[in-house]
Amino acid sequence: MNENGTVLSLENLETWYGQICALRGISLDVYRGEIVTLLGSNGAGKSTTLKTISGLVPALSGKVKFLGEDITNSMPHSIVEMGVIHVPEGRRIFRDLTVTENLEIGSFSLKDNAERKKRIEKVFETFPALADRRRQMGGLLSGGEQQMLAIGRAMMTDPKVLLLDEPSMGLAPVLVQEIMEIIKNLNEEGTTILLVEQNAKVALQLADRGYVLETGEIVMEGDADKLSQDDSIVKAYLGH
Amino acid sequence: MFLQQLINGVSLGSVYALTAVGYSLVFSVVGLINMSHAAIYMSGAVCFSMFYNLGGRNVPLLVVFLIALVYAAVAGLTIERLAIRPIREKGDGMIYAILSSIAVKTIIESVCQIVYGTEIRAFPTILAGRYVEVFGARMMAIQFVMLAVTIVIMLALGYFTLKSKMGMGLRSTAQNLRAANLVGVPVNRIVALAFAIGSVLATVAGIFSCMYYQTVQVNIGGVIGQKAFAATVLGGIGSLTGSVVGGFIIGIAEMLTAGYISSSYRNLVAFSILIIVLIFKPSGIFGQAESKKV
Repeated sequence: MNENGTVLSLENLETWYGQICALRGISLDVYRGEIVTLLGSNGAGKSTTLKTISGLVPALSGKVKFLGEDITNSMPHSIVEMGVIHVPEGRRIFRDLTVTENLEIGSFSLKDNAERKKRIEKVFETFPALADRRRQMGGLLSGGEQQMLAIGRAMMTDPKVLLLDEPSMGLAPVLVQEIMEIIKNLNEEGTTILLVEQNAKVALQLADRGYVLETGEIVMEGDADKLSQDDSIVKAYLGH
Repeated sequence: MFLQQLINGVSLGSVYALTAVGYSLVFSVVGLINMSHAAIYMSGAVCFSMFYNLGGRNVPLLVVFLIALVYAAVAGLTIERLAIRPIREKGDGMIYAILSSIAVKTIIESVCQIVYGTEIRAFPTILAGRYVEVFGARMMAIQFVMLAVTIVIMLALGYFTLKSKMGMGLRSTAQNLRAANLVGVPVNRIVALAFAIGSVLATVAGIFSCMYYQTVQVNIGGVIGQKAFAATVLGGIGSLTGSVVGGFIIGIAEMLTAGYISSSYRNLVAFSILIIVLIFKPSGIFGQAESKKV
């Protein structure tokens, strides 16, 4: 995979919340054009990994590198400007902004208004359900639509890497399939994706490779096909 | 008399409204009750007076006015940068930031006392002795200007928050600072902007109020600050419309009390309104009840 170049790499990343160690020095690489999934149970440090990458939580030691450049502990908005976009768990859309405004805010640093309009139209093309509701407040959307809006908002920045935190959370199975389909399409259009999921089955179907986190450490890594056949993974996360 | 007191109430209300908006703006973005706000109100007027005196009392008032506004904006930015942001970024909770803002207030007041003195001084005014007829009642021209300026500023602020990109950033930050940061809104810049706008508006209020009374003293911030804060809570803290409405309600209630009962009960009425609101509708007229995050 190396021939494609490393887009994102973590080197011995360590993150603490006060006295609690959340990441105990994890290292991982994401190559251009991949979908990499990060598996693990509650509290394993999956979300913390994403938050540390996007600058929301400070790293104590170790490095986050994006395209070879050290972005450890940069300001979140400058990380966004570089093209690393975090779609947080629970979607975090702006309930009191309209759907269109929610999208506009995704491209805050963009100066070119024509380009902004073009991207908004592209999001509406991808998610026709949102187009019908462009003037509605974000808070009035259904869970699935909010997830679409959160991903659409991320698309507004023309992301190089998407960090997706539990996009399937709280969605009906049919919607989960739909969202996964969209993620796959985004990836095929060239966006590299780091996907955090509790739904390991869905994630491994989609991903090229995976890492398994346990209490802040990476305990296993490999191709998605291999991981989905691994006995301990099957037992722990796939529920058979 | 009713109309006369209503006019006085509305013009007093415009001072409260301008000041209240600053409380609300800052609270909406960072959840801070900025205790140094009233000190800015005072020091802006003091700054105006100082530069006027320095210039030999014949500088055009517009020039000193602009200097005072620049002072206010710089003061707001400085307070945010030095006294609030470090605490906010450490994530230690807003109670420390409130304490820090009290310290800032004390510093500003002390500096003004040392530099400017504590005595009551004459304050330059405009349109002295001129009146506007409003439905048979007389409105001092300065009151009219105050009200007009307040309305223009509020419309501009409304347009800014609803239509501009920074305004959208402001609204998104007010709804969820972390999420705004995450989608690339430069929240530090937005928060600084909220402090700067709030300080400038408070200074405008301070200068007009002093022009109306034609005097200035370093202790003018105290009571106005409390009343403007009462107005903010009455309207719903965090809501800009609410602050303006709250400001006018308190101003009018105060002046009607002064006219029909006794002016020594003005403050009683203003703060009674605050207490009643806190008991029966703590979120205020336009405020939204805090929703639990799941």
